Amino acid sequence: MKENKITNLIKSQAIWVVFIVLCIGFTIANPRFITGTNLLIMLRQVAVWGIASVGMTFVILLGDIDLATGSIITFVNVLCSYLMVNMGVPMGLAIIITLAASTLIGLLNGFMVSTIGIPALIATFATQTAFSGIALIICDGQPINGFTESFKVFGQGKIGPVPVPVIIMILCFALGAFILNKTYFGRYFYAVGGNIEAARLSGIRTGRVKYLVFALSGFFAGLAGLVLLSRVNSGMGNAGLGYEFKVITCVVLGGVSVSGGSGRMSGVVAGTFIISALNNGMVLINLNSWVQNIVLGIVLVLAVGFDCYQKKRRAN
Amino acid sequence: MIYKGKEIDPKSPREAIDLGIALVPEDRKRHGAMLGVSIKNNINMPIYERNSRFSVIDEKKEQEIAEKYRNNMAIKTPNLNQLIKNLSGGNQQKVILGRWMAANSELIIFDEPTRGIDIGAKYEIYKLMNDLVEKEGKSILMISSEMEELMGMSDRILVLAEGNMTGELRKEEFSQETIMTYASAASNE
Repeated sequence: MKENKITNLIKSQAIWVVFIVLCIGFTIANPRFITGTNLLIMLRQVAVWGIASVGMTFVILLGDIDLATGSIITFVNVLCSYLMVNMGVPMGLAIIITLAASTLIGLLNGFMVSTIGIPALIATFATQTAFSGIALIICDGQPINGFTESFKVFGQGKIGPVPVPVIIMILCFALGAFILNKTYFGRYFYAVGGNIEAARLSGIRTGRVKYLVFALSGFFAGLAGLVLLSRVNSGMGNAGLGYEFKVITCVVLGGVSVSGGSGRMSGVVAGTFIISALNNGMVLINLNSWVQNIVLGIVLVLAVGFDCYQKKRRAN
Repeated sequence: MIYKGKEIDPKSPREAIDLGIALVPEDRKRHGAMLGVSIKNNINMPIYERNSRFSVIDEKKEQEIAEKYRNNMAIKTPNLNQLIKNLSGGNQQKVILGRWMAANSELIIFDEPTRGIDIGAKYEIYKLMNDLVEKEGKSILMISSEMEELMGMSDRILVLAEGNMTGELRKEEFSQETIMTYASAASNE
């Protein structure tokens, strides 16, 4: 019995073991990996993925997918820059408008998936393409610079030794865990993701739940986009390119099942840290960026493959 | 549809549940039990919104309700946090019944309630159904194609054939022949 508990503990924490092994490996390959400056860079990077992965977790828990995340991050970058620089909108108002816009894009995804019935893969793929186009039109393909000094705080500021984006990320993860474990929305996400028809017959308004998760995914992507914009300090028409891939990988690596219905926020935290360590470490050991993509592709396949193969074996 | 003397037209399961109507579906594994969710959550699912403040669940109440209906329904499990898929078919069915008791349902629709359930559990389900009517004052609408089950359990049988009601039988009129005659009525015309 006791031994069983220990194996269970190791099993549930296995993902952190992977993270530590990875860090040790990179440190041996390049001791600069473990230095304070590098860890700080890594933490800032992890924040953007971490924030966006909270919303993605909800979507994947429902058995859906949101490919629009990267595009929403780009759109947010350009929209917020344009509002502040070209239109002179005050920072606070620009942020509110931007977050509202990203949530609306999420609602649009929700409408297409829930009300019309388009598979999430296609609906969000369409949104991704359309909004990256809109972003490029807004900025006319040019970077937008010249924000007020105070805008820098979200991406570059620090409270004590802790970077502000990391604090925002921790708050987002905490909020995500709270929603999943303490509110009825969390119960609904697991129920709908596990079996949508049984959930509907138990009185859950499943259509609304779908709207909600896509709206949340849009909101968190928007927040991630603002943090990124503040860090880079320049709005660009390709800022979020490929981010959805990283965010999805963080979430499924963290043990959220792509078929929906199971996964925990703590796992996603671990998944996010692994992806950022991998990303950062591969740069430090001078791995060619094309090869980096191959590695990330393999990681995604392994993460999903592990889950799917276990399910298949259990089904037989 | 007329329910409690009033014309009703529920547009979704949620509306029906709020009116006090519940379904125990035929395909338990696909439509009834939420297999990947705990017994406790399965029982509480329709009433979470009622037992929450600012969307935050009252976990004490959640536990109390689950314990209450585990005892009432004699669900055999030591741990309410266990996934419902680990229970036997009969016990899963009892969890679903407990869910509708917890939701204060008054009319419970049973669609082939004993399909795929072993004999022992079958009788337990019949007994629960009788208790629901006699002790709890619930009404039951049972959909079944098993002759003995129908004649043993019902007060009144409505026979349907090809989507139309072809006959209505009171208890004293029950017999396999009469039911079969009505059931094949539509195709004879």
